[in-house]
Amino acid sequence: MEAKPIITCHGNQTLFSSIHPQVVNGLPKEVCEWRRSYGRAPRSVQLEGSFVPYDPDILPEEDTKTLVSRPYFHIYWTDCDLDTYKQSVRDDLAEWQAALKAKNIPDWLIVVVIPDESKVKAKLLPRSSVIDKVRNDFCSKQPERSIVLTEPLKTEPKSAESWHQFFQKLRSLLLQAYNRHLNKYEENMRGLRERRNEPGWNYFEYFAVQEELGFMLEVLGLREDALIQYDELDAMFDQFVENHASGAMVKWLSPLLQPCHSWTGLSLAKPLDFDLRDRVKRSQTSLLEFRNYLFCRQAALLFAMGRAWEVAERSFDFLHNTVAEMKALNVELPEGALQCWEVLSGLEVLAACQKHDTGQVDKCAIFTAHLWDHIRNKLKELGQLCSLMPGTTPTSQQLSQVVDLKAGMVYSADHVDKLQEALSSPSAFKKHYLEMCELAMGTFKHISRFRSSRMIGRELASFYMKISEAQKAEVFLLDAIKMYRQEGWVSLAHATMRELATCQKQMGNSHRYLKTACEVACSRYLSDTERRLHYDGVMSVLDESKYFLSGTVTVDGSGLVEPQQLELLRPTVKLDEEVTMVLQLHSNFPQPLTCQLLQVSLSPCPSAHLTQSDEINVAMPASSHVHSQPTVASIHRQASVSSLRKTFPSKIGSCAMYERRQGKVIVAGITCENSHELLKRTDSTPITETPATPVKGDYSHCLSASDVVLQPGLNDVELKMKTTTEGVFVPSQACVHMKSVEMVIPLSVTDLQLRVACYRPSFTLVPKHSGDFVAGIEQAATFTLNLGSQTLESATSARLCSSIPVRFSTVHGPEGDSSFTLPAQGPRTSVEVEVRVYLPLDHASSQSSFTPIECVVDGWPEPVSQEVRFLQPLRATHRIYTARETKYVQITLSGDSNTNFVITSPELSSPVAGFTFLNPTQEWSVSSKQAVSFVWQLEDAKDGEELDIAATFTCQFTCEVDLTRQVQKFTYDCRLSHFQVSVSLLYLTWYILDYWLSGEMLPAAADLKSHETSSWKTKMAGYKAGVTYTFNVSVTPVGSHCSAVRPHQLAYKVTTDSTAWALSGKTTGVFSVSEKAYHTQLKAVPLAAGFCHLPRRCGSKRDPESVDNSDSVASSGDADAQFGYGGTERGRVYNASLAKQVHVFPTPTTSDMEVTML
Amino acid sequence: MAVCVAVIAKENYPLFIKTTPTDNELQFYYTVHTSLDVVEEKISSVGKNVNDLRELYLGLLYPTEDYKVYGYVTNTKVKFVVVVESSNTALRDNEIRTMFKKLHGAYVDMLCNPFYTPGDNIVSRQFENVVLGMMQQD
Repeated sequence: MEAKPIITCHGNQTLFSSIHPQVVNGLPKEVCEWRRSYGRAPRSVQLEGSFVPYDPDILPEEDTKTLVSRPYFHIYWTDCDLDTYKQSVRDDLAEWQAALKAKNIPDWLIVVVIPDESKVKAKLLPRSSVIDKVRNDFCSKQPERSIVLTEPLKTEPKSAESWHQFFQKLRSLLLQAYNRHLNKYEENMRGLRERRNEPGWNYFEYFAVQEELGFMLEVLGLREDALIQYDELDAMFDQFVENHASGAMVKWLSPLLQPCHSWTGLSLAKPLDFDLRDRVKRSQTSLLEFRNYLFCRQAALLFAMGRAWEVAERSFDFLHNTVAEMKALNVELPEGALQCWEVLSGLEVLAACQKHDTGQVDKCAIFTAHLWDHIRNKLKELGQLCSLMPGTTPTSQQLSQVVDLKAGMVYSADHVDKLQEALSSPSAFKKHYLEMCELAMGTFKHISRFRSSRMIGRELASFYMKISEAQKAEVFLLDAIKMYRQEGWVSLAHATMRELATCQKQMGNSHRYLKTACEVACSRYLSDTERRLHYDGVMSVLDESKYFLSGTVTVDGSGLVEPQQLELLRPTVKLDEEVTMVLQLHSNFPQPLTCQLLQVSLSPCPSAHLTQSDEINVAMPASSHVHSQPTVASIHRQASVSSLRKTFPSKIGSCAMYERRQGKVIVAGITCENSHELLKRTDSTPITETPATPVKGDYSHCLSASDVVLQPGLNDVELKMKTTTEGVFVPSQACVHMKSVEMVIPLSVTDLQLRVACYRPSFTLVPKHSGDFVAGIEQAATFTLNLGSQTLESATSARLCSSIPVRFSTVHGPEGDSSFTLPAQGPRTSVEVEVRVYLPLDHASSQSSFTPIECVVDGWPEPVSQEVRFLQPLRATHRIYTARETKYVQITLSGDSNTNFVITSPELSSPVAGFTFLNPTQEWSVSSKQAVSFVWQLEDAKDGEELDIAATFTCQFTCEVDLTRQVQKFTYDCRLSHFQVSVSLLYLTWYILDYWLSGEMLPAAADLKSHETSSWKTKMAGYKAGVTYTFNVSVTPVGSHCSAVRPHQLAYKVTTDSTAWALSGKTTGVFSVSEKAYHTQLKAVPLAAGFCHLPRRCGSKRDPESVDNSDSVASSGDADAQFGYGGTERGRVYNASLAKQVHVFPTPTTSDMEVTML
Repeated sequence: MAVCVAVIAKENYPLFIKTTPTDNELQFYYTVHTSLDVVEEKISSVGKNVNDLRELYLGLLYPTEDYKVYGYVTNTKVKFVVVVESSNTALRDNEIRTMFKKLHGAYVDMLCNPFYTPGDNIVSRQFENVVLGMMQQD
């Protein structure tokens, strides 16, 4: 719309033509704010005008309802002097004014052009210029309607200012004029609209009125407002159609309901189709034409505003709405015609968008992509309708239909040709359809709407399959499946997979078909019939495949056969034993599945997952292998979303936690070490799961079951294997073999472990008749060889040997031959051999120790070793007893083992002394439970000066478990030290120590008259507690011949329990004894009543080296060790009063008691 | 009247889809899935400024000839998609908004169930009833 508001010019035309260009250009230079009524937002308007010469005939009548072609404003130009004014111009002006007034036009302006005033001589009379006259004559009431323009053709500041004032005035007056007219017009229009429900009202008449307003607004540059007019019209029409469809018939709509014969698409080539507009005004258009016109106008305005993308956006509503209206109004038109119209219109919009593209490709693409898709869809519909899709042949009826459709399209643009061509032949259709698909996909990809793009990909795939280009189709389908899988839309993935299966079957790719069809057959999202169909397909392919399928097909079986539970009946088995595992499988196949083989492979357990301490290499007794509790591990079902959830490990590391305050535990608990990891939010992590291609694992070590029929649903399959390798294993994969298909199912269970233990051979050597081996006797023993995992060949030779000379011999074999022959045996058995074992007494160590014994078996890599304990048969100890001057030697024999030994003829002999055996002669029995003691009195000794006597004890013994039954000899050497030996006399004791208590004895009988019955007490002498008594000590030397060797300086010490006795006097002292006895006395007070031991007195040899501190008794401890009562020198000082006790009576409780407090 | 109501997780996998029973329910699934393109676009077009109070209602995602697809996204990026028939002119923007608000409320109620793990498929009968109500109302 290139029209501009019309402004008429009157007066001096030559003057105006000279300044016309300035006026035309100057007017739009500045914008003017247009305030509007009804609270509408003010608009900035750039005013323009088309200046035409005045003619009274073109003045519009007041009620003329045009806007665009109406002259809005009238200007009178004059540059006359006062005389001319008076002569002619005034009359002319008056006539012009009268003409305007007659038409009731108030919008006029009188412009007086004058030369620069400064050049004019000073005016003598005021108000005598032309402008003054004009104002006086014509503008007495409206002084603003006249203006002076000074020197318009000069570029002086003064003239520029004058121009500015002129334009300001002109603009405001122009706006005033427009506003007045538009308001009037709008009011009129509103009135018209209000009557829309009255009979006889015609939408198209109203349309023309409002469109006029739109035009006017467009003329004023207000395109936005112009668009609103069209949008209002659009909405109004929508409403009418809707009402009409729901029964509110209106008469003016009936021409639109006529059968439609033309479905020419939208044309955006021209912004305004006048021809079409006329027909619209006259209600002569079809619905399609009207819609085309309306959208064309809207599009033109949008393009003008640089909003091409909005055209694309609105085109959907346009297309969808129009089709909906066509249907709602039941407009009769051939089948396919609407599709043609949509394709053509769509293509026109796309072409126009491209043409008007203003660098908004991306913004536009969002909509054009959908538009392409829509057109593609419509084209597809057309193709299906006319049998142009591949694989179909059009019937003659369809061919004539095509001719009809073509006839309805009038050439308007290239794409009409295109569509006509596409409809003409299947090959052309294919070309155009594919092109459109590519464009739609490409556009979607460009704006990264990959989901939409894949959708088209699927359609394209089905098209390619129809034209037997399955290879191309497969790519699209795989892409789509991959995306659906990644996003967790399993139902869509499966639905697409169904197409893929068909596609792959068409391709003849049995390998891939089998994989896909298996999945389809197991889909939970597809119908049973569909699944059965594909199951049958799989089976038939497998039956045929014997001939052409090479090798096996590996399929990811995780969705087909789902493992539910794995159960090992015995988690720990020995090598070469049979393992049984129960695998619970959920078969998703719709029919029973016959599997030739079902395997579960085992892989070594990663050390991090070992749940128990690894005890494999420790030879375990055979009885402890059975673990009664079978281990069960469950596997989570792989539901569509389960991969998102975090599965907790079977074991959670925990540690004790203590919180202390000031050393005290205030909180104790168990805490998880890596709780933050375990409890980490998982729903924010995106799915990164990609279906891995199945790789068949290592099945060299696997459990298997053959000929299993898997029913749909749950199945328990028992798998077995014989273990061949030791170690800890976890099931890693399951494999179902069905004809030539292998379904590989990953099993990710780490808490189910199979331990295969390997046992080393071992042997035991157990005495037959007694508990222990005893050195010195030959014993029968049972040699048991546990083979463990080893085997024995027949007649394997084995022998026993040891580092110490233990003699082994077989029971029946020759003496000294330690080798024997073992029979053939399998693993986990044992062999028993009877052997004789003998360890000579002299080789046995005195302590009963373990002796290493090895069994060397021919053919085994290493000998089997074991330790055997040999016990001493007898154990002897000796002891010397003293009774005053007499000495006795005691030999005690005891046994280490519970074997009974019979002892005969014990003998003690010494080269220097004689012994008298005091026991009666008999047989003695000795074992660990029974000891026997022999006592000899030391009688005489041969001459000699030795202080020690070496004596030898010998005895003979027999044992019932001894195989030889021979009498054995037992020898024991002992040393009897510190014996003084003389020719004539034997005094082994040097001194006799004696001590007693003296003082006033308490006659027991006197106090205890009443106790006559207790006769022993009457005889008993007693002492009274608390009374001081004399404690006498005497040391008498004996054996005068010993005086040379015995010490003469002696020390003594009296020690006592301080609660029983209080001692006063010299409790320690050094004294000398030569030939006479030594006496000393001490004061002693018994403190407690009862039978009391006397204070203990001990003597000791005076240490010659410590003479300096002669009064010291510190050495008494040492003296005890040297000279006292212990050790080997026991008996040198014979303590005759050692066990002497005295009877102390309690003191009657008197105040005298305090005296005793010492 | 909605013909299809879908709840889609943050990671774009379906939590719940209910469609009016038709021969080709899967077509709705495809439609909903495709609409995610637009949903994602709309979500990402909003500024990254956290303080921006995002409008949860995304409006019309895209029209097809027969259906209109509307979107709504919660603050936790759980998406609701409602498909209505284009011919149903009674359903205007406001009605759709109300529908989404109701759906959001039902979803929150469902989520409050301590036995429901976020991210699981929705099996709540109560939620389903709300959805069915939305599909039956006229």
